[in-house]
Amino acid sequence: MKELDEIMAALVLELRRGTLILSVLSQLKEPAYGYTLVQKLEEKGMSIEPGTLYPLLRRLEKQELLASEWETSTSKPRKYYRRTDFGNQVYEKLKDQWQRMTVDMEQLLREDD
Amino acid sequence: MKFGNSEQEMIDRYVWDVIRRLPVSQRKDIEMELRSLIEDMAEEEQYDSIEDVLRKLGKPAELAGQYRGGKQYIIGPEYFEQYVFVLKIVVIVNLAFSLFGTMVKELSNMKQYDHIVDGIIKFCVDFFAHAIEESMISTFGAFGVITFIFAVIEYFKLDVDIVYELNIHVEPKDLKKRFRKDSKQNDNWEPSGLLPVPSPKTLIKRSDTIFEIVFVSILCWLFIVMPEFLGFFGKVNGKIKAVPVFNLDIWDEILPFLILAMAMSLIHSIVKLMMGRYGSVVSLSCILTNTISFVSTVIVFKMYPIWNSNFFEELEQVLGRTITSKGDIFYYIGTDSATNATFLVMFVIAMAEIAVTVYKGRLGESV
Repeated sequence: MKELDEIMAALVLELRRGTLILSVLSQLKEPAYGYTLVQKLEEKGMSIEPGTLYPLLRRLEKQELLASEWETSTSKPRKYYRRTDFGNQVYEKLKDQWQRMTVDMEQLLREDD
Repeated sequence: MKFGNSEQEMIDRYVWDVIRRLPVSQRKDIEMELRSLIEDMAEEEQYDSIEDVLRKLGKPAELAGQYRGGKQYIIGPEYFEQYVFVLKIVVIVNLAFSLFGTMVKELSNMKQYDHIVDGIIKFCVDFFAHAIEESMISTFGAFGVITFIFAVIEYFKLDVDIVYELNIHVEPKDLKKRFRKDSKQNDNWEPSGLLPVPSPKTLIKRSDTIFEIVFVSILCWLFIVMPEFLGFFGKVNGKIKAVPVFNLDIWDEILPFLILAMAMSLIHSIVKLMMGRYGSVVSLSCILTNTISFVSTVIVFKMYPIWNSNFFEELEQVLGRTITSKGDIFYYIGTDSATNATFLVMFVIAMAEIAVTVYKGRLGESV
């Protein structure tokens, strides 16, 4: 049984990994900083490790899907991320893809029943 | 939120352990980000201590790895196939040469022994000891050098495609396409650039090549260890006597040329083994090695009195009859006719091999 658990954990991780970027993009229409994102996503059932999210945010910024700004007026400096215009376009397209994919997947899985 | 001294110290250490692994230009930003993240997490109820928070964030090396993005390789999947390919060639060639070299060296030492059995035993012991030593040193050396080169290639993501370049099985018009291919982007992969599936005719049989290598090695061994047996045998006074064809007095001077000729054949066999099919590389190797072999043989036959000058007397003794007739094949051994006949045979064989190799190579390229 241990083997089943191990394989399942790895496969679920693999499945989640594909949805990560879309989940993150979906939450960044308005500026948010890293840790609120962790919390928000966790609340909605998409838990993500901070150690994964923070580097991911930087990568998306590098790809110009996100823009960031340091908020230093408060006692704690925080880096806020939000989608760029380009990020919005990509997000919309990606969302479309996802919706189509889920329909197709539903179909595939129903056939199997 | 303020941390205690020891907590602050732990955070400082953790943050440093992460950022020291990252490019200097990103360190400051990531440091700030990490510190604010750790503070945010520390405020959460689910974490009892800073240790808990840091444990959740994971090993510094792994976190830094996430920041660098993707996996880190000394030699990544992009180059791995080429790396293994080059490694195989170099290690095998290297092994072949160090074994061959050791063998030649040890065989030449063997002559010091009067008794052939002593010599053979000594040879075996020395050969294995030195062969293991030599091949270990040279193999690890080669391994290291190639790994280093590929690590550099990986680090700078150089545009290298050795496997592709070596399989020059592309028609001339495709050649232009190859040079036109965008050197920066390997993504511009075109199905038209695919190499043809080799026809069975152009494949080189591994077993044939290995047979060649074994044959040449045995021949080499004979030339080095027992040149006196390269000749004719007969009984004189009830004892077996060998009549060598070659002049053994100057054997030390002749031998290097003959070994060079045989080494060439060995090199060609190795090239064939590596390439696995006929093509430009094998053709080139065939022409070069055959030329060197032939020249080396011509030099040795023309410059040295290679034939055994006492051959006739000794042979007559062994045969128990005199050789005077021109119809007798033995009459010609050791004469200029024998030298020329040797050249002719060698030349014909070499030309035939080159012709077949080049023909099959072209066959392979025009598929």
